[in-house]
Amino acid sequence: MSPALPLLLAALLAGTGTYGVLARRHAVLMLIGVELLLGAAGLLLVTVGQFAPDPLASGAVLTLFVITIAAAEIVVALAVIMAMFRTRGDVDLTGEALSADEAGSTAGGTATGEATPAVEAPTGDAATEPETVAP
Amino acid sequence: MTLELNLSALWPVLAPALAAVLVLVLDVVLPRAHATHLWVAAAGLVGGAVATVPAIGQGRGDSTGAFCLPSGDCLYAVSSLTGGLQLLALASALVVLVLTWSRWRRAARGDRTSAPRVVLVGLFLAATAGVAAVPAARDLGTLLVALELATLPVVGLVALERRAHRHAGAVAGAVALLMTSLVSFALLALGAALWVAATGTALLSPAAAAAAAAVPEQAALLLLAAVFVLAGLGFKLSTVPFHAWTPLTYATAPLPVTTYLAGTSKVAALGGMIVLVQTLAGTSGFALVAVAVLAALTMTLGNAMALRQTDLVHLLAWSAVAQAGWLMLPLASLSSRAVHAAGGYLAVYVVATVLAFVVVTAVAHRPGGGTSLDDHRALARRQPLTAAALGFALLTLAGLPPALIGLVAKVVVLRPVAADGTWWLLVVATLNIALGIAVYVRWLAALIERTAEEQAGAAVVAAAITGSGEPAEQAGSAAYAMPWSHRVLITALAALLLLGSIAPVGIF
Amino acid sequence: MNEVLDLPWPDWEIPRLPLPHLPDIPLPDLPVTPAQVAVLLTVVAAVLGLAVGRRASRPAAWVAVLTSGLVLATTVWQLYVVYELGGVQVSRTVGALAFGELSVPLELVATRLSALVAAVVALVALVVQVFARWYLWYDPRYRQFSATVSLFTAAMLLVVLSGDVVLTLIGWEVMGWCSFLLIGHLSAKDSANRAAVKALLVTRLADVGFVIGLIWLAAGAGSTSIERIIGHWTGVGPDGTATRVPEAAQGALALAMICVVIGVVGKSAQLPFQDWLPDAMEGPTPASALIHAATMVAAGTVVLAQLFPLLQAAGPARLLLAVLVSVTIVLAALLAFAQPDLKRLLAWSTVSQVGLMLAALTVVPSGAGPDVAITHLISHAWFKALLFLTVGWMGVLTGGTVVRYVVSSTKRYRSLRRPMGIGLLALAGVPPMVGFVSKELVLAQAEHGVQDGVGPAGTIVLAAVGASVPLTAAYCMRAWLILDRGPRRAPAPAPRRAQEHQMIDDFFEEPDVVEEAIGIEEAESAISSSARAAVALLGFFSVVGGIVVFTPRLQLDVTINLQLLVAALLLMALAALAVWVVSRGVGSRDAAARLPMRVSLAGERGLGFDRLYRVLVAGPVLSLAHGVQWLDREVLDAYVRAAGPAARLLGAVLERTHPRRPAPGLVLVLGGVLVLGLIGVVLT
Repeated sequence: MSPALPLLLAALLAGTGTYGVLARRHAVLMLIGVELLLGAAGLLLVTVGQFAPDPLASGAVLTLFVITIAAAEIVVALAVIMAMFRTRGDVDLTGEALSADEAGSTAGGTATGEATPAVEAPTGDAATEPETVAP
Repeated sequence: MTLELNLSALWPVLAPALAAVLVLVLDVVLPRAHATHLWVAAAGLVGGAVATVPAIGQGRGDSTGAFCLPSGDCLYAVSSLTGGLQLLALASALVVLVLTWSRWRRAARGDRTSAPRVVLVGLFLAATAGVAAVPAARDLGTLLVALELATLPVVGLVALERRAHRHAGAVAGAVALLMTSLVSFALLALGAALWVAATGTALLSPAAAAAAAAVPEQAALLLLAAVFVLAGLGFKLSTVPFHAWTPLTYATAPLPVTTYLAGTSKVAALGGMIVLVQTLAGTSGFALVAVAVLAALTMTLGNAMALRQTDLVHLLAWSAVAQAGWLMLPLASLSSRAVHAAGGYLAVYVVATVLAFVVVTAVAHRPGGGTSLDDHRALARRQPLTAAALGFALLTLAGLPPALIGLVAKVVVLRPVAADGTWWLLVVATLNIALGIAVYVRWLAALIERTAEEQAGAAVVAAAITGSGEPAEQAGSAAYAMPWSHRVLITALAALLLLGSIAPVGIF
Repeated sequence: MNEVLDLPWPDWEIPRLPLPHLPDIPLPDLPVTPAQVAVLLTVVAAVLGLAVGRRASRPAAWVAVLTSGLVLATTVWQLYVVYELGGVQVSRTVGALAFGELSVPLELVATRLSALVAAVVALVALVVQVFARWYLWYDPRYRQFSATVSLFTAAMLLVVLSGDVVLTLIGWEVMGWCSFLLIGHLSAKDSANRAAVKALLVTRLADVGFVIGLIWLAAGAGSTSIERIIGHWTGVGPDGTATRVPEAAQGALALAMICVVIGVVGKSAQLPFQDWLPDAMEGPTPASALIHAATMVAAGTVVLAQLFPLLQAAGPARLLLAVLVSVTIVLAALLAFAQPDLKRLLAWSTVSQVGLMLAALTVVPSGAGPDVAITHLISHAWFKALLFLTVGWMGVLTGGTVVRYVVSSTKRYRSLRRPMGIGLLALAGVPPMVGFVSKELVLAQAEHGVQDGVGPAGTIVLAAVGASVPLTAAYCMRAWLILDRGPRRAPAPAPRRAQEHQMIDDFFEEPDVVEEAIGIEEAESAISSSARAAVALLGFFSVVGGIVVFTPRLQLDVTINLQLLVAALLLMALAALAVWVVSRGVGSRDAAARLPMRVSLAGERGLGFDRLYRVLVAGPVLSLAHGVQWLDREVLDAYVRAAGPAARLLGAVLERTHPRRPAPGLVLVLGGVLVLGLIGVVLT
């Protein structure tokens, strides 16, 4: 068979994946878009490997690599999305990345963030961090 | 088919990886140890750094290979340039480790302000192993694995910030980085697929690339593959248009992690690009105009934005974007000389940026310190040596004497461009030299400002609050002495820059 | 009547007096030549003079006078050496410079003429240093003055003895600079500063032509050695073989020599650059004596004498020079008549006499050398320096050099009478002074030149020189009449003595005698003995210096037309008589008082040339400078100044478009990939 059909399918997958990445607001749906892109890449690899045989079977091997790495990626991505949900309450990617006071604490408050302030009373639960005293 | 392993060449990658495993094992075995994991990590990094020395000592053109096929191609090959990049990566990781030594020690029982620190160290070591592996990758599989190994743990490092007031910001930064890296990996995978389609093999061999470039349809495919791979790598280097995550993540991540992002991660990014350019070098009639356009845009945008920042971490983030443009500049001309120039500039950039971050960390850790430009005003009066080191780093980044090493690096990077004759790129680079000087000198000027009355005012307030009878300045400085780690790091890095300025010999 | 004129007036050949056989002093085989020593010694004197004696002026005076004496001895030694060698002596300076195709040997060359001029320069410099020691006794900046004079002497000796156009240029420039310093010595005076700047700028402007001309000559010849330049441009090879000079080279030679002539005309204060010299009298009198009488204004003559064969070959340059100097001679002599200040009178007289020197260079018949011009240079150096120094002495006694102050000063201070008289007689050209000898030689050469057919230049020059004879006599007579005016009071009747015979002791009580004695005592007590001796020395040379003409040192190939000689003497006498007649009835015996006021004022202002300089040169140059400054500030700098705001604007725009949310960031990523892919694929 000609490589046209699988390649067309790969292109379709890539297009759908791109749409998913660009147009979806939900983080998990965006992840699905990325997976679609990866799927397109894998399909492309397999097709190429089939129609241009290589002693090292590069196409197939690389597809396995891509799948494995995608799996590892998804683990980390979902963990981060969980953390995002816990801190913000939603997983909307089109929302402001930092809320107003977070932005304030980032820009100006890295000051108080990095150093344990000498003038404020230490916060309740935290024992004084060992880093403020010279080891 | 047999694969010749030659594991001894793999030590720079294996050492941190083994150290990561060891750290996790030790956590189970010795739960009470306070700093053992840090020492193991340090040992792994130092061991890996030492293992790169034989590779650096090779002559130009020689390479040691591991995982070699019977046909002679190796999946992992280390030339002297690669060895140098690996050494750079491991050394900068060591600097970051020393910087966060106290923070990553085992927490006291009941301390819930930070994740289990061992996990952080493990992630850190794994990422470093990935960074060390990228410049030596000679086939797409190794490249993909190494790149992801270098990227994903860092996302974890950014997100694992447990101090309450910074947690939300850190997660936002991690999300930005994650999304960009995911999409970039997808592009990378597509690029790898196109590469295999063009050359018929997953090996990054110059011969295969040249053969593919000879045929017109395959040449177009090859070019597209190169563009996609570059796009996949671009976010790590913070080039335009893949830079949107940089200011957010740099500002919200803990400072040592930002240092890692600005220093060691760049080695992976540029290492990958160097691998690509070296494969394509020598193919006649191939021009990566895209790279030139990227470089020009990146430099200009980074400098223009950096001019507006008052928070120093934001400024350094945009400065990293601008320097990414400089790093890509010589790669526009596909030659091996250009590759060495880029490697040399990377070394200078990493040392200078890491030094700047260390000083920013040191100043931020002081009581009453922060990371805004106002906290650095008149630093030369309060902490002259620190300010001098920072000033030297800034001059290096700007490329001004007496930081000759910065000047030489810029000249070295501009030479391939001039040799190629792309004069529009030269004009843009020249304008950006001026813009860059404005960016860094602005900071430098704040360092050497005189703000005596502000000093006196703050000292009076501090004396009133601390209630000590001594003069306020003495009280302030007596109560806080810079941690030895900061001092050692600042001295060592500044000494490196100084040594390079005195004798800027053969940067790669 | 016709018979008188038809009498055969014999032409008089100048007899040659054989020099006494000088004892054969064995020339010591020194590693240095006298030329090198002379130049080096004066430079060392300049440096040393500045370094010693911060508090007192005595060490500086010792350094200056001693080295001047040594330099004089060296130049005399140089004369002897050149005589013994019978030709030229060539000495190195710093060795040849490596300029690729251009050979720059940087040599000093002493010929018989240049050695003579060098000796005269050294003599005048010594006299001036001795005089200046007294004249500037109380001047707190005497040290700088004497050091500058030493430096100036070094530069002049360099120009005289140079065998290389580079050395000539160096000496020329240093002379200009030293002249600026010396004229503006009294730096607190505004007029002195202005005069110094004017002198510098006017000569600088002319120096442009000088430099261009010399460089053109050197470039054409491929060497800066004067000998090789002459050889190249006149078609005489180094071994004496004559080659034909192509037509294009003739034109180039003429143009280059015109440029050189322009430079010479500037330094020698001829038309149109003449207005700086009278204003330069603001400097102290010793400086005027050295620079503006004896040396700097004559430097142009020296250079043209060195390049004499080229001047001979370049007809247009000679014509230009002849026209300019002829007009200057007559104009300056007329203006000298109208000056109310004695120093300015002498300055205009210098302009006129320098014109005579240069004129003598333009009418030389082929085959002869520039000896006549050098003769006039030497004689002018002597009597003009004498005049200036005496006027300086007089100024100290009378409180100024304006006519109102110096009236009847030689009658009052009898000691001034002899040097002043000698000087004015020599200037007017009365036999047997040296001035007479040299002027007659110039006249004779002009006449010979016209007869031998040197072109229209000869006729013009002859007319001018002929006109200058009575004019010079006129203003000399005017000056003398003013200075020697008798006392105004009616002579008191001699007191009758009781006895009829007058005792010899009564002689000392007569008012005239007493007045004269007081005058002499004042005059002689005012001046130092060494300064007086210096003035007397110059006077001696002014009287007997004519003997040098008869020695074989100068090869003068002229025969003096006795008809012309007598005619000249007659004209002089008539002019003097006319002036005396005109001055009768004027209180100060100043013949120029009879001039209408407007003429007198115009003459005093130099016929408005100062305003002309300002309008023609200074004005346009300043406007150009302002324009360039405006261009630089408003046009070029505007781009530089705009860079900052432009960068800020760019930053603001970019910040507005920076995506802060993750989703737009991804749009950027994918969009960027698309664009890059298009660029990459389309542009291949």
